[in-house]
Amino acid sequence: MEAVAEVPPVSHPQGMDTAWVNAARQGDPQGFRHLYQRHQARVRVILHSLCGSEALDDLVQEVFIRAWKGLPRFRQDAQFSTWLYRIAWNVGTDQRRTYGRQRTRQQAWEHSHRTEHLDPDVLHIHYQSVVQAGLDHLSPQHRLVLVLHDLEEWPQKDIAATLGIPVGTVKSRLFHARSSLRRFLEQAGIHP
Amino acid sequence: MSAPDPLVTFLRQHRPLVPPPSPYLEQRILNQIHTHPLPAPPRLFRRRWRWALGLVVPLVWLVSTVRPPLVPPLVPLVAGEPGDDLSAFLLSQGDVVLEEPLWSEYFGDY
Repeated sequence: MEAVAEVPPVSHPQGMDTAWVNAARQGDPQGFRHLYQRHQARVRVILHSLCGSEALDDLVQEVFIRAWKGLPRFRQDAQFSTWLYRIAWNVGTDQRRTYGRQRTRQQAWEHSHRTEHLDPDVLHIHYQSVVQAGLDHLSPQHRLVLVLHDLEEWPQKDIAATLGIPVGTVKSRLFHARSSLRRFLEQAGIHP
Repeated sequence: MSAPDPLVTFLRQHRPLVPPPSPYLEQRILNQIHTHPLPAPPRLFRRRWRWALGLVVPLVWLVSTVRPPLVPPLVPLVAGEPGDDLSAFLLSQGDVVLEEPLWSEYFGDY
C-alpha cells in the first residue's frame, strides 16, 4: 500500500507563526524549520492537486526557497499561511505552464480504466484512479477549490484569501467543479 | 445539520494519494537556505531620502545659477539715507575723480 502524507489540521494559533516568522526574518533557520514542518503538508496538497506526484518534492522545495527569499518583503498584515499557500499556487501554475502533465495523467487513467476483474482492494485503487482522473479533468482553478474544500475541509474564506478571489467565486467554482466531476464519474459508471 | 453530499463522501473515501516527502527534503531545504542568506529588509526611509536629494540638488543648482533673480535685491549694495552727502561719501572711499577730465589730459599734447 502506498504511503500517504498526513495533513494535520490547521489548529495552531497564528501568533506562533508570527514568532517563527520574526525569527526567520532575523536569519534564524530554526524558525524557518518550524514553519516548514507546520505547513509543508498543506503545501504538498496544493501542489499535488495542481501538478500531480511527479517532482513534488522539488516543487515543495521551490515554494519554501521562494518563501525564504521573500520573507523580508512579507508584510505581516496578512497571515503567513495565506501568503505561503499563495506562493504554492504560483509555483504550481508555473509548473503546469512549463510541462503539460494533463496528457500523461490521462494516459495513466485510460490504462487503469481498462482493468476488468477487481477485488475490493483493487476496486478501491480503481476508484482512486477514477477520482484522480476526474480531478485532472477539471480546470486547475476548479480542481484546487474542490480539493481544498471537499477533501481538505478548508473554510471557504481561507480558500478565497489564499487564491485572492471573493468567497462568491469560491462557491461558484465549487458548484461547477462538483457538477463536472459528478458527470465524469457517471460516465465512468460510478454513481455516488 | 444537513447530510454531506454523497459525492463529497465518495471523494473522501477514495481521495487521491499524496506521496509523503522524502526524508531528506527538510534538510535539503535548510541546506539551500544557508546558501541563500536572507537579504536585508528594504530601507524605505533611506531610499526616500535619496530620492528627495536627487530632486533637490539639481533644483537648487538650477535656481541659483541659471535663472535670473526675479526681484531686485531689497538692500542696495551701497546703503545710504535721504539727505546724505554723496560727495563726502565718495571722497571718503579714496582717490576719486569727481570732475570730467579735459580731452587734452587724456591724449596729451601732440
